[in-house]
Amino acid sequence: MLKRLIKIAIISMISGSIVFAANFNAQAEKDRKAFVNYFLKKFQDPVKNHAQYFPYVSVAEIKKDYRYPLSFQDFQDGSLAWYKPSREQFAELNEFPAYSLEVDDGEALWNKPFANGKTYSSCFPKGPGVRNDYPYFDTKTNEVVTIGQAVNACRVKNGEKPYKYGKGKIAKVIAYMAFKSRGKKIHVTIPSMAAAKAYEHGKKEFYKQRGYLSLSCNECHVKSAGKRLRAESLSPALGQTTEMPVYRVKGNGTLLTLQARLAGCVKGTGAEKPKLQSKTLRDLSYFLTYMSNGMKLYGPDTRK
Amino acid sequence: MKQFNKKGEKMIIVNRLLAATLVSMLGFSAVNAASNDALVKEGRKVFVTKKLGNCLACHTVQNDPNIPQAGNIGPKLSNMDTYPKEYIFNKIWDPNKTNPNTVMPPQGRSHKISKHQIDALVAYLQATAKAK
Ligand code: HEC
Ligand code: HEC
Repeated sequence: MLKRLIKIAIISMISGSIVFAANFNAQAEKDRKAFVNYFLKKFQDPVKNHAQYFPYVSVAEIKKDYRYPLSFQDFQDGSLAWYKPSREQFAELNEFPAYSLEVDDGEALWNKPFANGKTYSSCFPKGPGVRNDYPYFDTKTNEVVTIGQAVNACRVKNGEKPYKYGKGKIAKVIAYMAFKSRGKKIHVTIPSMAAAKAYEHGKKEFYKQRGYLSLSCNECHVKSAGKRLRAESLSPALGQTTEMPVYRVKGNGTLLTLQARLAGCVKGTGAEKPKLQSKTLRDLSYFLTYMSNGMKLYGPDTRK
Repeated sequence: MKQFNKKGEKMIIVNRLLAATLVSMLGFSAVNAASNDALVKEGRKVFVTKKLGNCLACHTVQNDPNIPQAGNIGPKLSNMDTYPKEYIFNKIWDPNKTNPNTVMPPQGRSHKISKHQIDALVAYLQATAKAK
């Protein structure tokens, strides 16, 4: 009798938390659908929706420079999706893309044995084409794991020194992995209540106003997406993680990881630059990537 | 002669006095105009400089087509001379007060720019409306 009671109690506890997680997933899906629909509507007909979404952009500029309507997958192109002048400029640049050298370097690093004779393949049994499996929530450590962390964990496990995050060799290795993952779909899941917490934290960070400019990711990449900040065409948050690592032509050209890009934008608001792979940036990337679930990757890519 | 001279001297003194006040009046307003010009100039610098107001990131300005690479997030700032100075000042100090949902940053409240620099911005914006 007692055994049975305990059994029932345990079962109901377990199913309770499953129901809870399921409810949470339903909520997150609601977030995501609203997010996607906002962008689809906004870019369906910016001339017709002018007053609602683009009140201060001249209709003449929209007619001349904007590309629309945009499909879900179109958002993969970031600011190039809607801004014709950038799109044309980058189509030309990408005839001989600068990032292809980085991909070659990354491939060489991928294949070069560590001191112990093993390679990255020993940690990534499915091969390099797994960019779309990251970030994911690890239910053992209860943390979000990024692709950069996975690469470095592999190095450390094999007795190598971890790479510095953000750019350089780590970006090259990820660029090769991304290249091999082109066309694969983002599929972030929220497997537990701890994961739900990480998602909620990331979401909070996305909407939080920062720095002396009091700006949030939302204000620049949702509300102001499809507008220009100076000459910079602002990319919609939808699809933002699909082209990572991103080759920025600015300056002498740098290949940047998603972590570096996020930290750069936080700093741009006048807030202190967060540490790469901090909980804040990892949870933010988790939320942001979840919002683009189902979108095909095309990384690395070139941007301003 | 002496008498005349004396008279003359008096006249000269009066004339001098008049002239002096006139000059000082003129001089005063000239200084005023010059200081307003300086303020307008400073305001424009605050407007276009990334590390200062960086207002052009979002706004174009009436009658100042040479503003480089202005963004299109905020409205074109025109007819600013028809707005009360305080309205413009307050908008720049903290736009959330009149519009809680605005994306415009509160650069006065957050001390990114000083009160003096905001005065300069107001002077610049109002001057652009007159510079036809
Ligand atoms: C002051 C406005 C501003 C804010 C606030 C801002 N960004 Fe950005 N962000 C930009 C600009 C400008 C670019 C470069 C142009 C582009 O691709 O959008 C950019 C680029 C990016 C990119 C790279 C897009 C690409 O296609 O390469 C990502 C990802 C990104 N931002 C995420 C964020 C996140 C997340 C936040 C909040 C922490 C944030 N940004 C806050 C202005 C901003
Ligand atoms: C990130 C974008 C952004 C920046 C930067 C910005 N603004 Fe604005 N500004 C806006 C938007 C959007 C509005 C319209 C909504 C509102 O009134 O809040 C606006 C409104 C205004 C108005 C009111 C116009 C009217 O007709 O009522 C003034 C004046 C103004 N801005 C001046 C400035 C000045 C000066 C600066 C720089 C110190 C600046 N703005 C920086 C986005 C911006």
